[in-house]
Amino acid sequence: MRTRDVGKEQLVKEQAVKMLVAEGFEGFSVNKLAKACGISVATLYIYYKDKDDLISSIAIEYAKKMSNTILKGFDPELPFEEGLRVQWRNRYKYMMDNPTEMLLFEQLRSSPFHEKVFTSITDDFKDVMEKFMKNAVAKGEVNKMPLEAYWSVAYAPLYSLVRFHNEGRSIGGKPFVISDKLIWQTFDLVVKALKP
Amino acid sequence: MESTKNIFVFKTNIHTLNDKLIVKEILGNHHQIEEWSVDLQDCDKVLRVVTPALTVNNIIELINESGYECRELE
Repeated sequence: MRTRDVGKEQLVKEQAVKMLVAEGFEGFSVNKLAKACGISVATLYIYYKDKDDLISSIAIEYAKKMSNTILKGFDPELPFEEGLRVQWRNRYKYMMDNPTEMLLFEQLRSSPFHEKVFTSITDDFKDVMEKFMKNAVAKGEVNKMPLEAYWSVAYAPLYSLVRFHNEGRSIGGKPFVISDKLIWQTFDLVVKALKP
Repeated sequence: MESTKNIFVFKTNIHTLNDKLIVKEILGNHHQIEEWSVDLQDCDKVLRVVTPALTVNNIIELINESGYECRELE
């Protein structure tokens, strides 16, 4: 019986994400991945049934990792501003540390894998996030509003800033580099906007 | 990921969904086959079989019986 080579497994996953981002789901193949990793195609097929299974298994694993990172040190019972600050810190760190994975998730959003991958994490994750918002409303820390309106104010600004940073330019092509100062300045505005 | 001891992979000429349905007649009803799949998107049309008892040659014979060719992927 063969033993699992954890280092190799990790290499396969990282290489797969890189190739998926560079070549898209159509251009990606198990054969190319095997070559890039210096392993046999057969080995990959031992672990994954087919191309779709490989893509969704790896994406689910990374989605779980993202959700765990974002929930680290977070408690939906935290006071609103403190909880949101932890969320911003975790999400900001995750996005800055894992730009390739973020690109993969963006691709997934518009792909047939979307449902399979995101339903795998959303149960826990969505529950915690909704509970946090509901607690904040119940405690009178935030006005009652539709979840989508809440999200668009609470988190979307952070994602915009990181997107500007990743693209290297902001409105009208102006060169842009993110800074902690700017992040927390924006955060203060968000908190102000959501408070009753 | 499951244990690797009873999984075999083959390069095949199972090209289309119709081919796959023909192979299914034999593999799908075999009591020694726990799981099987063909990656039609791959250029090698890789067949993957999970079995507690069958050997590589047993599987090749089954595929040949269905009218297709396969050889074990190294």
